[in-house]
Amino acid sequence: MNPAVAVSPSRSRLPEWWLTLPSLLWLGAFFAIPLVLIVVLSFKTADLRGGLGPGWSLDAVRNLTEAPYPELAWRTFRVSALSTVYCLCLALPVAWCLARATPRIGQLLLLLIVVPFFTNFLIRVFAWKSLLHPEGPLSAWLRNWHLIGADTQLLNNSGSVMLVMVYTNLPFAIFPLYAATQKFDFTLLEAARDLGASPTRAFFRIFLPGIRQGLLSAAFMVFVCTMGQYVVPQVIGGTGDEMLGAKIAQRALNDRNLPQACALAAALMLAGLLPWLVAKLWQLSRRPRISTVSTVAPSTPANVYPA
Amino acid sequence: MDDFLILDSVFRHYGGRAVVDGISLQIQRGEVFSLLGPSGCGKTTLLRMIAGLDLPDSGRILLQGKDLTRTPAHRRPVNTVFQNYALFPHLTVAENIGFGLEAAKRDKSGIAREVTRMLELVRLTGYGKKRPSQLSGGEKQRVAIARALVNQPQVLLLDEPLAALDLKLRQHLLLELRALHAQVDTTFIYVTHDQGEAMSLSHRIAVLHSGKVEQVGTPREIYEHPRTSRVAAFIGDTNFLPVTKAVPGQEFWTVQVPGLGAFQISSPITNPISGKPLKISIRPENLRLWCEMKPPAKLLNSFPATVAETVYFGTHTLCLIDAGGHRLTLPFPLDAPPARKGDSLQLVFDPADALIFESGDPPAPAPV
Repeated sequence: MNPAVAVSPSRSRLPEWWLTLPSLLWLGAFFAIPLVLIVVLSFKTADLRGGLGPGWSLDAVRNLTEAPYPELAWRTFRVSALSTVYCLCLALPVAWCLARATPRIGQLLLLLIVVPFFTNFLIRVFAWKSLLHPEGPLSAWLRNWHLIGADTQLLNNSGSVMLVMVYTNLPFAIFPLYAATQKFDFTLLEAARDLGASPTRAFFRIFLPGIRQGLLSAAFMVFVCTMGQYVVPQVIGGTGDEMLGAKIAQRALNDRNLPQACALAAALMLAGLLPWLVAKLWQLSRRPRISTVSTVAPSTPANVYPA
Repeated sequence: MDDFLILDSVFRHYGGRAVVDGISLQIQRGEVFSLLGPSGCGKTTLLRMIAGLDLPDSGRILLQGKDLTRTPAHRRPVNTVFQNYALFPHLTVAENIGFGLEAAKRDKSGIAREVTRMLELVRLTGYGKKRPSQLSGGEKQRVAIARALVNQPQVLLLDEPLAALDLKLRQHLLLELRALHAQVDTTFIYVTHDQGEAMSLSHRIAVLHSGKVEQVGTPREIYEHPRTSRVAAFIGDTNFLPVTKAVPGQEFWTVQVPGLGAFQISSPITNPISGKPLKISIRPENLRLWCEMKPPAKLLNSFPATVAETVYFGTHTLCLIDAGGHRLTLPFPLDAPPARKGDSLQLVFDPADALIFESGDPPAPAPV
C-alpha cells in the first residue's frame, strides 16, 4: 500500500477556495439569502393587505401542527415516496438498456427520452388532462373495449396524480441512473455469475451496490421534485389529492398570508433535506475508514519479491 | 473417452466472421493447458465458452463426459480469473473471496474458515478487511485467483492473468502460479499471447490462429518441431529463407536458396511437399559463427554474410545480418569477438536444425 494515499490533501485546498469565490457569491446572492429570508419571514406577522405586519410572531409556525397541514404533509410525503419508488423501478430497465445499447442506438434513445421535455411542462400536464378526460380518447377507447366500466373516472383521483407525477419525474431518475450504469463495469456481473451467483443474486449483490451513487441521486431528485409539486395535483387530482405545494401557493397568492406560506415552505424544505441527510449518513457508514489502512500490516517488498 | 475436458468442433461467429472456427481439444485432468495465439485468434472467446459466459453456435463442451454446452455459467464447476481481475469494488477482500461460497449458501463459519485458508494460500494473510482499491496490481491478481479457487472448481480458467503487470512481477507470479498448481488439485486452462508464459507454465500448449488450432503439443514439441511456419514464427524467433528448388534425398534434401546456393537439410518426418513454394526456417540460436580453428565433425552448411545492424541486450548482442539479399537475426554471445556494422562473417548451421515448410502461410507477426 502506498503510504501517500493516506496523506491528507488539505494543504492544497486554500487556493481552490479562492477560485470558487465567484460561484459562491452567486449562489449566496440567489440561493442562500432567499432561503434564509423564507425562514426569517416565517416568524413575522401578516397584515391585511398582503404585506408584513410589525413585530414577530410564532403564529405561522404554530399553525403548522393544526388541520389541514399534518394530513397534507403526510399525503405529500406518501405520494413523493411512492412516486420515487415507481420512478426508480421504471428508470432502472431504461438506464440498463441505454447503457448496454450500441453508442448510436443509445444516443437515439436518449434523444427520444429528452424530446418531450422540450414542450412546456404545463402543456404536457394539460395534455394528460385531456387524454384522461371522461370525454377523452383514452376513456372512450377503454370503454369501447369494456376494459373499464361506463362510470369509471380516469381523471381527478390519486391514481391519475401518481401517473402524471411519475411521467413528469421519470427523466430525473433516468439520467443519474444512466450515468451510473454507463460507468458500471459489466464484467463484474460476469464474474459474479462465474462464481456461482444466480442472475438475481448478481443483480442485487453486485449491480445495485455498484450503481448506489446513481440510485441515491435519482431518488433524491425525484423525491424533492415531487415534494414541491403543486401543478399536477391541482390539474389532474381531485379534491382529496391536494399537496403541500398547492397550499403554499394558495397561502401566498390567494390568502396573501406570506408568513404562513414561508413557514410551510421552510417546513417542506427541512423535510426534503431529511432523506438527503439519511443518504449522506449511509454513505459515510459504507465508506471504508482510512484508519483500516494502518491497522493492516503494510505489504513489504519481500511479499512481492521474495529474496 | 477418458479425457477430462473435451471441446468437440466448437464454432462461434461474430457478425459473420468465425472467431472460433471448429476447435476440438482434449484436456487431461490436472493439466496446465495453454491457449496461445495473437490477439483475435479466438482464445478468449474459447475460454468464455468453457466458462459459460458465451455460447457456441455449434459443437459441444464435455466435462468428465457430461455435456456442459448449454449449462448456465453459475451452474458450472468452472471458475475464471479475469484479465482485469473484476474484483467487486464495494466488497472487502474477504467478501470478494467468500462471494462464491456465499452464493453456494455455505454457513458463515465455514466461509470464514475457507477465506482464511485461501488468503494463506495466496500469501495475503491479514488483507481480508482491505478494499480492492487499496491493493497493488499483484495483490489484486492474487485475490482474483483466491476468489476463483475457493469454490474448488474442477477447471480454473485464467484469461491473460499477468498481462497487466510489469515484467519482474510477471515472472515472479508465474513461478507462484506453478507452485499453486502443485498445491491444488485443479486443471488450469491458461490463455495468453505471451509464448514465454505459455512455455514456462504449461504441460501442453495449443497454438491458435484465426480461430483454428495450428498445433497441440508440449512446449518442447512445439518449439523443436513446429508443424507450420506460423507456429515456428510465433513460438520463439526464427529466420525464414525462401527455397526455389528442393530435391528429396535418402538422408538429406538439397534445397536451393536464391543468392546463397545449395544447402543440405535433414529430410522432414512428414512430407509437406505438394508442388507449392517452400521455405526453410532456422532458429537464430542454431546459426553459428564459422571458426577456422575447429574443423566440423559433421556436415555443416555454410554461407557468407555481412553485419547490417547490432543491438546490445546485455546478455547478448543481437545482429541483423544480410546474407545473399536476405535479412536474418543472430544472437552474438558476449564472449564472441564483438561484431560491428559492416563486418563480414561466415555462418554455419546443422542440417538437422533447418525445417522445411510450405510458404503458403505467411509468418504471423511476432509478439512484441
